[in-house]
Order: sequence, then structure tokens, then C-alpha cells
Amino acid sequence: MSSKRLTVIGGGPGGYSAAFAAARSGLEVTLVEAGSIGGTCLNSGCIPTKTLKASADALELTARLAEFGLSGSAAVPDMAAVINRKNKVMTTLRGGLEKTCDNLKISRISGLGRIVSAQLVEVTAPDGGKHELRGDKVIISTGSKPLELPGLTFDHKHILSSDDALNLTEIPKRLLIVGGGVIGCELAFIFQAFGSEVAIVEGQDRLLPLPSIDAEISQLLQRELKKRKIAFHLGRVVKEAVVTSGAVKARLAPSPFSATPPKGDLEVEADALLVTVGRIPSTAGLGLAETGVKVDARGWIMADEGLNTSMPGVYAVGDVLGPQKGMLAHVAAMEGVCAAANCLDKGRKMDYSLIPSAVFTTPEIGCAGLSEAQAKEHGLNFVRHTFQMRQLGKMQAMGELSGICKIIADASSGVILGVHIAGPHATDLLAEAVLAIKTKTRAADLVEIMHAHPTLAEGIFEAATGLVEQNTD
Amino acid sequence: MSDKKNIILPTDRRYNAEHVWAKADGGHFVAGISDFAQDQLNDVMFVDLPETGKHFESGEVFGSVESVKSVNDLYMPVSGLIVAVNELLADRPELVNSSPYEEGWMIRIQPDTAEPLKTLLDSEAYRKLL
Repeated sequence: MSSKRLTVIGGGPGGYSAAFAAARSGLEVTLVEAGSIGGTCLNSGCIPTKTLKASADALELTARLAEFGLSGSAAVPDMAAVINRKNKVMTTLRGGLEKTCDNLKISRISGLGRIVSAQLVEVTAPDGGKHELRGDKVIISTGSKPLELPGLTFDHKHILSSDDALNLTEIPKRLLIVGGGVIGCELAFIFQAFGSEVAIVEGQDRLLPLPSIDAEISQLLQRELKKRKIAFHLGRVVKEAVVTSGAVKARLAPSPFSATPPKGDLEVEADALLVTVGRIPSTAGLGLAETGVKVDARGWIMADEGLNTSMPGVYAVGDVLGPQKGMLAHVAAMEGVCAAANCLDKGRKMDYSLIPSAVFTTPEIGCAGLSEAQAKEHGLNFVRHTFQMRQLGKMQAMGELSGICKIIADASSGVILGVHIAGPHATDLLAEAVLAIKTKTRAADLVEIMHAHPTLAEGIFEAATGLVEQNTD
Repeated sequence: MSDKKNIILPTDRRYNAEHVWAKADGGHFVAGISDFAQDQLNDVMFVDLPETGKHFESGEVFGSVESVKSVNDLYMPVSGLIVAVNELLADRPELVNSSPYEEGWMIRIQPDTAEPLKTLLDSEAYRKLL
């Protein structure tokens, strides 16, 4: 019996995770990629932002040498070298993925894939040549791309997308970031560190206005922005923006998404506008309309909990499923593995109930489980405690102060329902929180577990201790 | 930290239980934090003040004060509109420690009602709380 053949269209975290899992399970896999392997994550998202952040963090540390008893002056960024480093890291990681494909005997084809049926994918190569890939199953993982606002066409010079932002060799003197979500906030800190005067416009009433992000975290972040003199205009949207004499004049109007919009318009001038208001599906040329693979009103592919699309034998994973499913690399990777298993009829179901959020602002933010607002919405009887990370010896020793660890737990059982961390390495500390929530650990259990001293992990221990003490009276 | 006897609590103003003082000044109220609060906080590093034009109810959080030891919310002493904030604190947050009642003032409020200070504690009543 010959192996089942799988065609994966799109080589980002969703696609390559599916391809690797499928190949390891004995499927014959072909991976189609129109751009570079690694998708948005490796090429224009997670990885490049983190390499820029590493340079920004190093730069900021050089401005604090005296604080640590060192003499020397603050460094000056060489943006061409910063971008060069980013590109080197990306090349290394792409090479790693390609090697894994080779080791697992996954065929790689460059080109744009089009579904003709579950058994046939047509690939148009960069030179225009067409290849037919016959198989048994297809996984679509074509991802997403930056959303362009009407009237604000990306010109890659004054009106920038997040893709452009990650390739800037010249730092804009004044940068207006439209959209105060994760990407907008992360880039705000990075560009401010490199020397831009940054302002953020956000249509809702807080920054990071995601349901999973606790209000206390938004409040902390807003305070940190103020300390860095990064202006932010909440409850406002860009009504229009005009590029004249090398600058952008933007008119900010009250936002229809705000519960308490400000009155009147505001004029802001900048050297560049960075638009980070969301993303749209990358499904052009995929053949969805022709084959009848169902998409929602916004064009996101509809898939069930087994990642099946409306066409039998065709699965979809990753960003292309849209924001309802969490547009994150780690979600895509899990979906990819799940879909690969289902190609072998394992009947696996995706569980979206516990998706960790890692935000690389300064300080970092790591959240998992319910926010306080979500707990209230669900009508839960809960308790909460917020610990100030600066009370840890490790924080003081590091010379870091800003951060909190907030735990939300069930009032009667003490089971931890949500953890919200801000501070250095919060994105790494998050994993313990995710494990605690997944295993239904109670705050009272967590305090029985030794946490090494002096570490930042004691933050979660102290938050749990505070919660237990607060509720034993 | 100072001995509580040495904490200065001027009698020309009133205090809420959250250590915020309010003093009448030409139809407005000026507010800041008490000597007790600044002493407990230690070196103030940052004061997060609201935008002028915002309205807060009495008891609502209007900002925060951050020191090496902690970040503490600031609670409105009276209901009203913020008409001015102390811009000096942006670059010189230490004024809150050195001069909590004068140069370290935080907000100027246009109160909603004529005599809201009656709901606050006088210096003796506030001292008893500490």
C-alpha cells in the first residue's frame, strides 16, 4: 500500500508544522510556498520583530551603564547593521527549516498553489511554468497580510505597513502608529528606543484592547508609555492623512468604537505613518471561489474543530482561519499537527480554550486564561490578587522595577483561571502559568511548590501566596 | 521611614482615607498626597496624571504614583473636572517627596458641588487613621 500523499500550500508555522508531523507519520508530503519558507512568523512577524527588539534592548542598556557602575556613553544605532543582523537570523532559521524538510523527505516547490480539487493542486512557478500536484489530501496554510486602510495606501515611504517597518534603514524622526494592538505597541517601543518620537492612535479606549488582555495590564503599559514620552490618543481614528513635502498630516477624529470618545478632531504631523490595524486573508489565486471552499464574510476560511473545510479532504490551518481562531504562530503550529493527524483519520479536535499571549513591549507581557473582565462576563465567582514584581529581590538586583503578576482564581475551589504577567521575561514566565491553568492547579497547590530564589518566577509564587492569604481569614 | 509623630499634616486642608489632600483655592480644589504617603513610598520616580478636561467621581482612581517600592493608585478626594495638572512633576517627580503640599501638588479640580470638602477628614481625624 503506497503512502497517502499530502500537499501543503503555505510554508509558515501552520504549514511546516503540518508537513513535519505528516512526514513523521508516514505521509508523502509536498510543501508549496510562494515566497520564503517560514511564512509571516519568520519573514515579517515574530522573528524579525524580536531581533529588532534585541538590538533596541541592547541600545537602551547602553544608556544605563552608569546605573550599573560602568563608564561609557550610550551607543548609536547603525540601522543598516541592525537590519543586516535581522536578515542573518532569518537566513539561519530558514536554512534550518529547509534542512528539516530535506531530512524528512518533504518535497518543496516554489510557486503559487491553486486548489483544483482535494486530489489536485496546480502550482504556478515564479517563471510562469505550471506544475500539477496529485495527492490525497490538501492542507491550506496560506496565512494573512497587513490590512490597508482606505485612503492610506502603503507607499512604503510615508505610509508604512508592519512589513515595511521591519526593513527601515532610516528611523523616522516622528512616527505615528495607527492601531494600538500588539503589533502597534511592540513597534512603538522598538522605534522609540531607536530614536523616533512616537505617537499611537487607537480607536478603542485602551491600548491592547483584546478581551484576553486584563485592564490592569493595559493600564501598566499606558503608564510605561507615558514614562517614555510616547503619546497615545485613545478613542480616535485617522479620518484622513495627506503626504505633503515629505511629511504626513493626519486628522484624528473621535472613534466610533469608543465608549467615551473625545470631542473634536486633532491634527497630528509625522514623518511616517505606520498602519497596524489588522490583517486580511492571503487567499488570492487559491481557487476557493471556483472550488466552493467556504469562507466567511471577511474572506477567512471556515473550518471545523478538526480543521476540515467545506471540501472533504481539504483542511485549513493558521492565520487564514482568521481572528476568531487566534492569529498566532503557536496556534497555527498546533492546528497544523492536528490537521496532519486528521489526514490519517485520527479524528483529532483543536482546543482553543487556552491560548497564551506573549507581547514583546517594554516591559514584556505574558497572559493566559481569563482576564478579570472575562471572568465577570462569565458570571464567575472569582478572587484576584496583583503582586508588584518590584518587591522581588531579583528585580531590584537587575535594576528593573516595572511589572505585576496578577492571578484570577475560582473563589470556592481556588483553581487558577487566569494569569497576567508584566515585567522582564514575562513571555518566558508565562509557560508556568499556562501549565497551572491547564492542569487546574489551585493557588494553594502552587504555593506548595518551591520556586528557586532569586528568580522572576517567584512573582507567580508571591501572587498565589497573596491570593491564599487574602482568602484565609 | 519617619516616626508618625513627625508626619506633617497642615490644618488648612482636608484628607481622604487614601492619603490624598485637597485644599480650596479660588473656586477650585488643589490636591496631592500627604507627607505620610510620600514618606511611606520613598523616592517617587513617576507620577501618572490624567489629562485635563477629564471628569472623575469622588473615590475614583485618577492616576498613580510610582516609587522604587510600589505603584499606588491615587483616589479623587471630590467629584469634579480636572482643569490643570502639575507639569513640573514630569521631569521632577521628587518634588512629591520634598514638597508634598506645595511644589508637589498634583491636580487642580473644578468640583461638581459647592462644598464637597465636608466629606473629607480634617488633619486630626486623618492622623488618627495612620
